[in-house]
Amino acid sequence: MNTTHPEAAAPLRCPMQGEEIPMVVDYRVLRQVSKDWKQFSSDVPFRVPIPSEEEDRSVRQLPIERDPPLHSEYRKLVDAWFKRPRSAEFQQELSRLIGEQLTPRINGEAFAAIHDLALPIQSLALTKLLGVPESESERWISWGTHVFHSNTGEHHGQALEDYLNEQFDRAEQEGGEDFFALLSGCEFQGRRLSREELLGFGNLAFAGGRDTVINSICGLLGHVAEHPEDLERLRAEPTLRAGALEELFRWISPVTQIGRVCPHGATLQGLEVPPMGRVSLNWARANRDPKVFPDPNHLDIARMPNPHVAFGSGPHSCIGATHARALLRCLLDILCEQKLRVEILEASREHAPSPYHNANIYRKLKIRLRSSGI
Amino acid sequence: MASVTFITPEQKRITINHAVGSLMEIATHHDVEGIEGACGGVCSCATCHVKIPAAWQEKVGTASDGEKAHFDFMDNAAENSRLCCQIEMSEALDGLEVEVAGEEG
Repeated sequence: MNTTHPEAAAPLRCPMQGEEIPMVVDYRVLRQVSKDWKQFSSDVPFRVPIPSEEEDRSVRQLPIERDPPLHSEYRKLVDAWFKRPRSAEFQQELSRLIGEQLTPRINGEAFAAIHDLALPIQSLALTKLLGVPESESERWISWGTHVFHSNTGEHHGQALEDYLNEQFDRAEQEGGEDFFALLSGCEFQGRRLSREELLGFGNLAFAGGRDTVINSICGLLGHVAEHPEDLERLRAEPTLRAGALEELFRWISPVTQIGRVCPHGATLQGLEVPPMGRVSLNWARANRDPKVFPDPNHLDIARMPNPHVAFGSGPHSCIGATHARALLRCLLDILCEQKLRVEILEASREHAPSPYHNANIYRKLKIRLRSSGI
Repeated sequence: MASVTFITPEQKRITINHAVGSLMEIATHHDVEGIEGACGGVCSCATCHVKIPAAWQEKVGTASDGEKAHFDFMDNAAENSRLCCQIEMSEALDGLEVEVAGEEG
């Protein structure tokens, strides 16, 4: 693959875990690399995320940590399940549970949006995605905003694995109609999935859409607080809402970057990557490539064209994207239709200690919800 | 009422009668394989890529800038590529046939 283009932005060289990892920031190059799975592989457990996650989990996440064609076979097992949020019935349920979280807070006290609103909404929405009782969310909420580590960096991925083992034990004994039973009962290449494979699917279902969805919810709340004129326009012009959310996802880029491993080495924009060396694909920077997105730091709710890569690109594009889009759409619809206003009392965003961090993620967001006119 | 036929990469023909809405909405409503419409029809995802046979290109029209922004970066895009979320079904398109592009690579 030729990754050399005359106008392409050069990769960054990022020191990480004892390696200097080339980080792709150019949109065109990123799209090429993300589909060239033979040279830039995902078939390496724990090392697709950067930093790698050997200390956070004991299993290979599925389907993401496989390459085609095996990846496609694994993905096919759960693809239809992850598309269920497209249905009107599913979205009604999402709207109900979001409404139940929002309503008691309208015209009430200020609250911490990340922990007290976004985390419960994400966890409750996940119960819908997995088809389990809403009460399960209480345990998930207790894990905090990231399933693998606390805000102070303490690892607690074992709590998730213990939980998943309990769920697959139950599903294997009792059956049922939830995500765990679906996986336990499905046939793959003429056999049942092993426990390791089951845990791999379960692990990704919990880890993949956790902080990413929470950051998206807070990003939406923060943006409409800072730009009430955008919320007014979306209230008046509902046909703009779907595109506005795509722009929000571009602007936030909740998955900043992800890795690939080069089994045989590679040359990336003139940089030599050694065999088994890693490269990073920086979706957030590609989403700000000024050659593709004019005025890229501006969130323009009517931006067009908008071929963003916030949900990745190529065969490994985000399997949870349907759910994330449906959830954010339900939240935006409620904000519009109930004529709510969001006021920020205190906020801090992730500072940018290096060029590859995403500056649009809140670390603290204290807000108040108002009904219009109060 | 108008009908439209989707031809999958495996040459399976799926004809939908009384078709109303965008081609993406029609395809996803009938579970046409290879048409996902992930972004909901706002030209942000390119998961509803089709190719228009020569006989229909004039009536269907050419790709917008929003569509072309994707095609510039897709290996399987061609002159007759369209994102079918941008094609509204109408009586004038009765009998339309489109080829589902399928995945890249």
